[in-house]
Amino acid sequence: MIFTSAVLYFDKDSYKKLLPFIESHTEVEVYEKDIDAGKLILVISTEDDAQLEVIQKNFLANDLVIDFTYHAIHFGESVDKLIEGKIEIDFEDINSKKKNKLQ
Amino acid sequence: MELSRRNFIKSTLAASAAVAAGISTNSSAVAQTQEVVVERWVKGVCRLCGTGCSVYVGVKGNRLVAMKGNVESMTNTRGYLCVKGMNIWKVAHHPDRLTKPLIRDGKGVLRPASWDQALTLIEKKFKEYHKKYGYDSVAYYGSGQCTTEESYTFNKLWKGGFGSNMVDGNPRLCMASAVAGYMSSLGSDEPAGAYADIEKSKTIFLVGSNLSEAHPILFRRVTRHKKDNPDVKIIVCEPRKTLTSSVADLWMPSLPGTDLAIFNGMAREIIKNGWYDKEYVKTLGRVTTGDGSKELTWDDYVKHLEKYTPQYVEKKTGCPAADVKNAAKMFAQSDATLSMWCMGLNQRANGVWANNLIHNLHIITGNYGKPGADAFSLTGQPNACGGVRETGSLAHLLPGARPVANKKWREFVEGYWNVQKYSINPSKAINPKPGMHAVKLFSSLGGEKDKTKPVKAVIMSTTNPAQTLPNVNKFIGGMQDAFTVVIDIFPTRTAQCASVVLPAAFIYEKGGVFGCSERRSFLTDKAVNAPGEAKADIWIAAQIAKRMGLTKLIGWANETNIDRMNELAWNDYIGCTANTEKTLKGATYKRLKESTVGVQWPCPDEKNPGTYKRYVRGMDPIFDNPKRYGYTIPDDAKEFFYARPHGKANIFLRDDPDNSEQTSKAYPFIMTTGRVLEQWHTGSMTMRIPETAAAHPHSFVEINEKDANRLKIKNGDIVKVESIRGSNILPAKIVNNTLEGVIFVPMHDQKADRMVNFICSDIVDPISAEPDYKVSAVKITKVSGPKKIDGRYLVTREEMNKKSFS
Repeated sequence: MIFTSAVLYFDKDSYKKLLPFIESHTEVEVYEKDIDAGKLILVISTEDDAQLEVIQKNFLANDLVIDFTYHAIHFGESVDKLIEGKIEIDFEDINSKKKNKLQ
Repeated sequence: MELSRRNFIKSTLAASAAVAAGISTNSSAVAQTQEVVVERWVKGVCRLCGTGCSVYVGVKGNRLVAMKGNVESMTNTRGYLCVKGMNIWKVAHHPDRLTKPLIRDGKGVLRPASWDQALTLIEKKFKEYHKKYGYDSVAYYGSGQCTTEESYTFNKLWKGGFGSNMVDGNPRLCMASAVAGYMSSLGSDEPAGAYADIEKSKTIFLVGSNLSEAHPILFRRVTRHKKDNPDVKIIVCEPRKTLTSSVADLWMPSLPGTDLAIFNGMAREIIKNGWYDKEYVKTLGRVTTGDGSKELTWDDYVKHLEKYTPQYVEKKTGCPAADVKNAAKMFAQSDATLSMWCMGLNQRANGVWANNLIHNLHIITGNYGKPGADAFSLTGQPNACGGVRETGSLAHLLPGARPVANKKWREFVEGYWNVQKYSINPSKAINPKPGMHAVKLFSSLGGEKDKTKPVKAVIMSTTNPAQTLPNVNKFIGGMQDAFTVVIDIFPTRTAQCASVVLPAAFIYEKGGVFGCSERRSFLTDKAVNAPGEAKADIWIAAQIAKRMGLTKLIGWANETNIDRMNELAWNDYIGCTANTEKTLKGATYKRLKESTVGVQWPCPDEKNPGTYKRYVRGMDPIFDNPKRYGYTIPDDAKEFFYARPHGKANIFLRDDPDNSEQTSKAYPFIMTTGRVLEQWHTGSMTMRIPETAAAHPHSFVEINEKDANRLKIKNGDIVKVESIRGSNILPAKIVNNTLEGVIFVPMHDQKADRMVNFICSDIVDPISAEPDYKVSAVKITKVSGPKKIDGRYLVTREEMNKKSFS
């Protein structure tokens, strides 16, 4: 699991409109808010970075969002799994014979 | 409230982001939770791109477990990060890491060896070739990804110890034209301003830079500045309409390689409309041509520009005449214009001239020396500026970025290094003749049987020339036949050609200083140990020095502690350059260790805060004691380009010659190359990050929809892109973001039939010797309809034993 904190800048007059959109993303939690300044601190819990990027793209595509930017990431659980060989890093579209399990 | 471990982590990350965003939070909760999340935070710089983002890496045991932006950072302001940098931990912990030295045996197989065996072989070969073929037969080829201490050590070893200037590096392939541009226009390399100018600018001119994908954090600064200040104008001049253009008020398309006409056209409009700064030109401008020695008149310049009517520019470049006029107005009529450029301007047959013409626009409009105004070249690597430009680790330079041909400076460096006493070269001097630039070096590299190739051995660090050189097929045989040593963290195409492969430590496993595009040096502390037997480059350089009899020259050669080695090398370096305008004398190792923002040169003493803006009295400390640096500055000069005796910047008469490869009936398309957001350079790191590789698993060719219609090529069809040098087989991506006749191929793919440098032209700029990656004449033919192709391709350990590339 990867945990990422991000800063969301939004149109400060549209917080109520924005909230359902945020809540529709089950991976996203609001941790801190400064509504008058149009800023929210989000923490996103995802299985991988690809999922994280999809969420970022969704947010940036929303007209009420002015900016969305990463600040910190914790990947300790994934490092443990990676080193223990529990994550395959190869891809489905590569010949399966060439797949390397992490040692 | 009792929190689970995951909630502890999330609270900590949120609290840190809140601090970055200026939202008040419970700081004691942060302190309490930090220890659970990581054992310690270690400061450092992001390893990718040239921005120089400041980060903290979280460590637990000997593992990297977290990363966060530095909220005090002056580069990635507020501590924001991009997706490339955040994924770097997967590189550090990757199972493909090289962990043991390898020596190629008689059957061509790389066999594990001890460090002693590998270093003994290197010593034997280097000594043998020095004796048989001379000191210039053994070369060093470095990287803008080595630390400053490493580059300085190798540079000193070669130039001071061997008496050979056969030292060059991959920055030759990316910013040599910017170096020559700054030196010929302003008299001294590197920008006058800093990233801080972004937020102070009124107009931003982005040219030859896809900032959104190559420097995402800087793009964020630009977009935020525009959002906060809608009156700020942004002009983007580039052949492709990329995401960068999405924030632009004006996108100026141009055929690759033709934009010199646009810059001259803009200058003509500015002068014709009286928008130029007469006083600035009179005080700080000097019209010249050629090598800059002959002074001409303003009228000569005006006459020279007459040809560049908007109509001429449109015909030559494809950029609408009206856009040239608009751009000129936006550029000249703002209170502060900031230009930023990157490889689109540098990797060109006329790259230096293109740089000169951007400087021209700034000189005639007075856009230096004030907040928000500058001509700023962005680098593509994290330590191209600090490690290679400033330490002078190129064939024609010495530390302080001063030419090796400069007798006075050469003699100073000889004395500082005690070359007469320690050099193993009988001349007991630094060679006054520049060595070979990258393309020439690899053209001259070959085996002992090849009498036409004078370079017989090369040691290459943190770079991958068997993939990055233009027309690369020309150089692979030489790399395979010569004695080649590769220092790297992963198998690469170059390692596939190597005689010896040495496993390297990653930046967070060794620490060291990186100097980014804005003259800022920042120290990364060692966070974890390197895997297996991987070693820091500075240790490798030290072992070679010892074995070659140069222990006394490299005063840190006998050290075993890498941190101490780095400190001694840094001290030696800042002492050597203390009396140049690039002085970092005040950036002691202790200061860099303690600093969370780094130091911008010039910084002559520890009390000096570092310099945001050069050439301006009151901002630039060179004005306080110019004689110390060999300069004379009049007492009443407020702004002065002191590296020139007259203090004036050159306004060059530069035409728009067609030096690049020209299209023909047989090769009717112009191919240009570049980056995509998810990948970096040859993909040896980013192709190993599953998510980024999945986002961009292989190359493609972008073709304008009208061209595609004519050729009956549809999206996903497999096409052959071919030049007179080589070809690629790529899936087609039909686009409407380029001019007709222009195609684009990214540069990251390692698969042999998708390595774009088999196609690229190896024409180089006659001044900087930087290759013309941006313009190659090609033809396109359809091979088949859409077909599933192999995704991400990586050179494996097994493939390193094969001679051919698959």
